[in-house]
Amino acid sequence: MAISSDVIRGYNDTIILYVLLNSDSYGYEISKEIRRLTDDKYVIKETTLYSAFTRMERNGYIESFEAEPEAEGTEKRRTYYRITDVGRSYYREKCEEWLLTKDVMAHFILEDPVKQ
Amino acid sequence: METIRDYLNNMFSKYPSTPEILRAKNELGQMMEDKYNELIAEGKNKNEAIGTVISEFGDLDELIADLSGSGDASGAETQSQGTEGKPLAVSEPVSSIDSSAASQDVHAETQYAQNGSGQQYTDAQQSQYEQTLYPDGQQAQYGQVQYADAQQSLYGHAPYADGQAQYGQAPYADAQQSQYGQAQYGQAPYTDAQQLQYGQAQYGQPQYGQSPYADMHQSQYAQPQYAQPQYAQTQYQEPPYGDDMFEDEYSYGAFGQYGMGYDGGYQAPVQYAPCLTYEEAATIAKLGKRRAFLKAFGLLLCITCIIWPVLGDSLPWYLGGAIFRGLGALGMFASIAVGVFSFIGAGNKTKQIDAIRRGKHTPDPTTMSLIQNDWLQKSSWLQTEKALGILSCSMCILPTIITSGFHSRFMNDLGAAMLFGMVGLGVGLIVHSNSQKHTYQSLMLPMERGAYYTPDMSGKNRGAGSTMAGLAAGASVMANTAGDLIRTAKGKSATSSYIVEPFSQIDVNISRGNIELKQGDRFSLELTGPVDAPPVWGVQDGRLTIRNPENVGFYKHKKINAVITVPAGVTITDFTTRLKLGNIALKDVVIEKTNVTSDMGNVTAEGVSAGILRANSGMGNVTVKRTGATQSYLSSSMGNVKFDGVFQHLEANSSMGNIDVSTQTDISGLVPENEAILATSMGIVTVNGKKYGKSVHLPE
Repeated sequence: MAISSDVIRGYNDTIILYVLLNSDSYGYEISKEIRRLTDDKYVIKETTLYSAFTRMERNGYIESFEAEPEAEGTEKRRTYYRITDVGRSYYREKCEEWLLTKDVMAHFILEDPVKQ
Repeated sequence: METIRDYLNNMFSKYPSTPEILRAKNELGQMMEDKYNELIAEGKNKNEAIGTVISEFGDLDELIADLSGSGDASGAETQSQGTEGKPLAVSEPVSSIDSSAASQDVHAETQYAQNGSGQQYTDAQQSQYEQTLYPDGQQAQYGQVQYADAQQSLYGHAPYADGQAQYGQAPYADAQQSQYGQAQYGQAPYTDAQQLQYGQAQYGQPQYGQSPYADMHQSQYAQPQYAQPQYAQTQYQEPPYGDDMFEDEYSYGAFGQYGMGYDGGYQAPVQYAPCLTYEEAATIAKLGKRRAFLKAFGLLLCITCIIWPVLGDSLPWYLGGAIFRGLGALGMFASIAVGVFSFIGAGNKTKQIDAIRRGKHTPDPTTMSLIQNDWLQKSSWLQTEKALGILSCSMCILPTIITSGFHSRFMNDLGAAMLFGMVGLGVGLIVHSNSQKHTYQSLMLPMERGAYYTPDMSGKNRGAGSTMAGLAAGASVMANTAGDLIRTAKGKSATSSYIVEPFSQIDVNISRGNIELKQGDRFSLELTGPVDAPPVWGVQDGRLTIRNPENVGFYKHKKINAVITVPAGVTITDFTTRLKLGNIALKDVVIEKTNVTSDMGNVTAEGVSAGILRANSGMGNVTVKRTGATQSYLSSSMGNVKFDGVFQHLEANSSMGNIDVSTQTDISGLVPENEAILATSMGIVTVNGKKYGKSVHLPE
């Protein structure tokens, strides 16, 4: 069973912000981290990821800067993203929103849909 | 990398080169390159890596629409001034998510340039909450799109549309994806819906009625499943029995149904040759028994015919020799004549058997198991009979040795006669045994699905009933009999190929043989096994099982080779194999859980992607190449273990062999999840060319 992109769409920002809470990161590394954290259950598409970056940068949740990745030692520069204070508070809002959503939805979700 | 760059260039070719879009292209390219490089590092081949990267790229149109809606589109602002045409009714946005300032501006001032994409009569990429006339809207949500070439029209009306109409009305539509659309409760008489889910067919006409103009390619819950034609034709169709079985073909309902479920289209009935029934098989066995006797008897008479003149010539007077003297030659000819008669009789039996057998498939499974049981009971006696025959032949010289001691002409001749007698008897027994074996083998002959039996008619014309034809038949049976005589009945095996219904689990448990699992064009199976104890296999609930036949002791387990093929893109969830003697090979397959063991033989895996890979060998080598396995457990008691690929957790053991690991996986401790535990009792452990002695636990 694959996750529906329609459903998760509203929370892509939250997911990315969570990854950025710990450390600044760049495109592929973020997508890899999302994949790892969800045990391969959610693979974010490149276009979705980039769309979220531009949107969040526009809204002031994140800011971008150019840097070289530490580990690899290549001279290839990448666009890194860093979470802003506005982003942090937006992240907290989204967390609360999700908890509420989850509470509401819990009333309508069967534990074992197969039995019905 | 070239391919990915080309792909990206191609995808972006239809968009203007604004700084915004170029930046997006750069960033996306970087992400794809990163992903590609990592996949290659994981051991994927070029094509796999490219495939994965492209499949995970996403929807570029959507991204560009998002970017255009960001307010950056300077061109859009200028173009959106001074629009022509009348504003249409504008509905209020339902939600404010993603409704950017720019979008709302446009909304207020112009009606034709939505979201700043900036073209009149528009080529609106994202037209939300609006009513759009004549647009080429790619995403029209909550809006009305008329005459549109809308690709995604959510909640909207899209009459005459060539788009994806969800929750909308799509009469006359060429909707490619129409979910929950009008079709659900209404009519879509001229629809050319390619994917109609939960659509018309559910409550509308086609299910119980007719859908005269619809050309539905993929319609779930729709016509194909419940409608009459398929059901009636494939499910309940009677096999057309006729006089000439050769001309008739069976149609199997079950297979037709399976096909329907698969692509929803009309599945032509699959044609089969009919199975041999139990009665027919029993008749053949009976006829085969008589044929064996007639052949053996005919041969006995032909061989022993020489006895009459020999004895007739030398019988002493007191045994009435003089009377027989003239009759010797007569006896010889009579013996031959009766022998030939027997052969003709045997030929007739063959004819009868062929008449029953012709045009038929193998016996049905129940009959097959009965025949196999019958054969197993009979085979020991037939073996004994054959042994006696061989004994009789090899002892034939004994009477001559004994009788030569009497120094009498009569005794000498008697010895010679007995020699021929014993040879005749021996040959008769051997032929009797082999001929019956041949009958059973032909009954148990494995055949490809849909194949039927064709008797070997080479050089035989049994049509005419003339004496000459009879003699010819007799001669051919004699030739045949010679075949029975020299046929090495042991170890006869046959190869059959099958196209198999899809499966996701594989369970092979056989004693001897080689097993190969590889990527191919389709789900198929090639089995080589002994004719008299063929391997038992089947697919049930998505599981392919291959076994030695039941009721056959281990000493009778012959070698079985199985080549299992699965198409690209298929993930096998579970592959379990237990083999006592033989090799196991896996090539270019994706498996979630692998557990393969060969007690005496090599285990190899090449180009495999696995979640868990367990490979064990008692007396052979375990070799893993170009493989990515999250968890690998490899062991060999007396052979070497070699791993070349990537892993997260690797355990390898060997008692008497070496362990050689070559990997790109970082086991320096940088990635805490990665771990390799390698140990050998008598060999040496090598990792990436570095020798570690008897055992090592990495990261150290």
